[in-house]
Amino acid sequence: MRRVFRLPGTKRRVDRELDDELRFHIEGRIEELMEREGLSRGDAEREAARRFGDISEYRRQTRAIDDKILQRDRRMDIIETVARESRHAVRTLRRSPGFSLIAILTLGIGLGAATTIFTVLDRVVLRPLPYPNADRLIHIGTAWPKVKADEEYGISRGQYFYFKQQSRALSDMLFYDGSVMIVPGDGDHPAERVEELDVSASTFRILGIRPQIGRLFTEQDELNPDGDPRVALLSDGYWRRRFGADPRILGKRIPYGDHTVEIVGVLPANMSVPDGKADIWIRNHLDPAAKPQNNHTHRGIGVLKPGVTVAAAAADLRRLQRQMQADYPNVYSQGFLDRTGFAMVVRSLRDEVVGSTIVRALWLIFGAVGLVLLIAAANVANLFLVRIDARRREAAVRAALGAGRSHLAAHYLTESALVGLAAATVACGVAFALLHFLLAAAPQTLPRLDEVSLDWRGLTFCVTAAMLFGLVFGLLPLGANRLDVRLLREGGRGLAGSRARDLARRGLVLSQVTLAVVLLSSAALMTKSFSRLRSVRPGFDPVGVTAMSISVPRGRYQNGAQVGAFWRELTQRVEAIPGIVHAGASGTLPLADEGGCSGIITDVVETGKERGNCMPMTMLTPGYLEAMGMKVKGTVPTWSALESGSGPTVVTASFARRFWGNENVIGRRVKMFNDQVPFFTIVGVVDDVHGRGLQEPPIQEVFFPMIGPPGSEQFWSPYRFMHFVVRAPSLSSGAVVTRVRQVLEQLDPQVPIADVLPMETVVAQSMAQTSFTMTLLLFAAAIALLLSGVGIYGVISYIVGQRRAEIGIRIALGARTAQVSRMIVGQSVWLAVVGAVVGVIAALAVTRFLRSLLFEVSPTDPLVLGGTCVVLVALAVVASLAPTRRAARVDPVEAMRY
Amino acid sequence: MVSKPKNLRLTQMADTDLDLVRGTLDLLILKTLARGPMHGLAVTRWIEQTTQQELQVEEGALYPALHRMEEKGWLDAEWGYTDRNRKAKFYRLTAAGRKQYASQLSRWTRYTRVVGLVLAAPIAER
Repeated sequence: MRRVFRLPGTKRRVDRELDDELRFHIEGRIEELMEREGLSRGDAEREAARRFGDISEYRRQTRAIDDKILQRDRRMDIIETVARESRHAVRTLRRSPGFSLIAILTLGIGLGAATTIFTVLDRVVLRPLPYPNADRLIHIGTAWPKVKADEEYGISRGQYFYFKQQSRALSDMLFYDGSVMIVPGDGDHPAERVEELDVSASTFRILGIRPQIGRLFTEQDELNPDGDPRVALLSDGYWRRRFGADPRILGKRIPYGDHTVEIVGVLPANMSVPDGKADIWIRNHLDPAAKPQNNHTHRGIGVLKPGVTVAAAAADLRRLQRQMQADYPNVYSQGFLDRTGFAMVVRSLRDEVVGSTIVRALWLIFGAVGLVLLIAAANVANLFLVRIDARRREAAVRAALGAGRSHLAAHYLTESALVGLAAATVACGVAFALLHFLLAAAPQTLPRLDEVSLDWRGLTFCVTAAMLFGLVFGLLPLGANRLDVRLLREGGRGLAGSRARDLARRGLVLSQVTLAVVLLSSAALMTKSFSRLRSVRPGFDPVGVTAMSISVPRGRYQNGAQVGAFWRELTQRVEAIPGIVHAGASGTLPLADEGGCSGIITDVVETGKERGNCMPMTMLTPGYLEAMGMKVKGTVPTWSALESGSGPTVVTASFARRFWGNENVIGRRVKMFNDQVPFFTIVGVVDDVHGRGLQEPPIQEVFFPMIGPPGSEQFWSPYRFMHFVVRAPSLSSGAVVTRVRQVLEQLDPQVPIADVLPMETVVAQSMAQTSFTMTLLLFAAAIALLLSGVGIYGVISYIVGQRRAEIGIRIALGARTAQVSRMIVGQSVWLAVVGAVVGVIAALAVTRFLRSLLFEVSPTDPLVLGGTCVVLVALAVVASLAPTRRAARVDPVEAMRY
Repeated sequence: MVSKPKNLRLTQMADTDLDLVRGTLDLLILKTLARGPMHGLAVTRWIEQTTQQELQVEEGALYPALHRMEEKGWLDAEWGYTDRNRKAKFYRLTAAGRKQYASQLSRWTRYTRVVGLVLAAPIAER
């Protein structure tokens, strides 16, 4: 049997074949009947038709079956094509391991970096907050622009009820405040200071928190008088840590201030209020009948009614606030309103949580790794372009053998998709490792960090991006390669058509250089900021200093004298330890805990400037200034001076300047904003302290002594929570804490220590945002430089390869090596210069987004931009060295022959 | 030796006559093609000759059967030329088709044997 060459099926072909088959049968029959039985043509036809039966019905049935076969064949065809092309692609990729490895690694690293930052960004910024109806939650606070321009405060209990009951925009509201409390020690556990949250009962309902065991707070619980909160909830972590996850904890009472609270429930793990963590939750005392007070300390969160916008809610709350001010003129006097500029702040809770500078930095970093990814992709695209040239003959052979454009497309796409997939795999590994590094290095001010981990969204991002790049790389040859069978003719060299590709190649490198300039200048700006920041003298000497917070419980220390005696005893015993130079306590800690502010009255009556609103102030014990290494002009407070009742007070230089100008302020007087408090006497001035951040101006602070002059006791209750600072240059922080703890055990084991930190760490943490952004940008810039270098190297090498014959002729005609070298390096430098010029323009447009992250550096710093260009040109020279050497060694005879 | 009639399910056999005919036709085609590749007309002729024209089936019914068996993978179809140099579609048993033929054949012989046994049994008083 001879066979007929069979082509792949189409519907039309199947139709035709079926007709042929049936016709063959019937014709065969007719001939047979005519030959064997001697029937006439007409009779034979009739007889054949009779025997065959209903032809159209049989045809229909058969055709339906054929359709099924056709569909199955097509599916098989696709699978087969993919499998065949994949096999082929794997083979070709393995045959050029250099190309494959570089392409996969380059793309993988770029993608990995992008996936890492995407994951962080996604978890921190893009995802809704983990609460039901999260998009309807709004933050409600207050601004006091004339007191502190850049800070916001909370709302009062009075406002809570006023808004909750009367707002047309809100369906519900919650209210909370954080604080710390001391849980006394028992036989098994030492006394400890824990974080506490005072919350409204509505908090749980709105945030969707259910108890793990026991019950939550009810509105009835809120009504109990303030001193006796009666009921408390434990966080999951504290329940496990302190009570061994004992389910019988319900109903137990633990001390709370002068009272005890009954534990009524345990909260689930990983559930808390936005930006807040607490070990113990206490019900907030909320009595709707209580008179409003001017005490705006609580955080308010409202739930918008369905369909109400944040703007509408803001307008509604401002209206209510005006109404409330009219209702309670005693609380909100005109004088108060004028003096403070008091105003409502309303924004979506999401903006409140993720709207910080560090989140802006995160977007920038995402932009930076995006650029790195583009640079990496440009390199890989270049590799693919080079490969296309190398394989033009192969493509031409395939075309000559009948492969159409779609066949070639399938071939190239499979290959590039494979590269993409492999790169995605590498990227996932890179992202996994980078994420670990990043989470360890990230500043603590970054919100929602504990929610971050590599998840399917990150992986989807990674694989999708990889496939997109794969698609682009796979389609490159179709755009670039006209299938030209003429190529098969002998040699095929010098055939025109590579000009477009040359341009594309140079364009890719140019854009790489441009992007690298943008990245490098951003990184350089951050680095300059960071070094400027580091060179700021904070106003204290952090080296060898350990800070810890020590909390004095109410029980044994009721009045100022008792608290003072405790601190004096503690300080003296600690200072007696060998290796410890100074020790002392303060209510604030520079760069870590700003403390509060207060109105201040000074003795400058003559100029009418004697009053200051909201001046940072704190209380300290003798030894603190020495322990912090703050330089004092005048004298430092001593315990004997404190106890003699002179109220020795120290102010910062900028405070002194504000009220007394350049006068000598020793002996001048100052007090808190209350006419009945006696004046304190200034005995010393400390050098300016950058207490709110090294990038911020120095604070104008007053350090009042812990024990005030006679008559101040009733206004002067000593702080119970203080930062205890110990200077011990020869001891580690751990050793210092152990020794302090030993002293405390003898002195009073019910006094807990918390938050132990070397001051150097405090300083580092205050710069964490800048150093984090800087590190990541430097990292991005380094990769960008490396990749751009590789890109330039690739293109120059290619150009040298292309111009071998020409170079050979030049050398043959007497060109010297130096001339040839100059020509090649010139090409490279020209690329870099053009790229740098475009890059500087792009950088000028982009770096202004950095402005809020920069310190004492202009986003258009000419030194940075100029330096960046120099670096890029130098890079171009270095990258062209190897190809240049190759060009100089071209043997003219050989070059012209081939 | 008593073979357990486990493959012979009378309930299934009680299906329509059409199924019986189709099943029978399949078996006849398989048997025919077991001799070697053939086109549809040749299959028809062979069945005609061997049954001495006793089996009256419309010839057209052959084609849905052939194509269905092709779909099931029992047959391979290929275009080729007849002795008279005409283009025709030839069918050939595949390995799966051969297996199918063997199993259908044994089922059929068992079925006819069992039916034969029943029909041959004497009708006697209880």
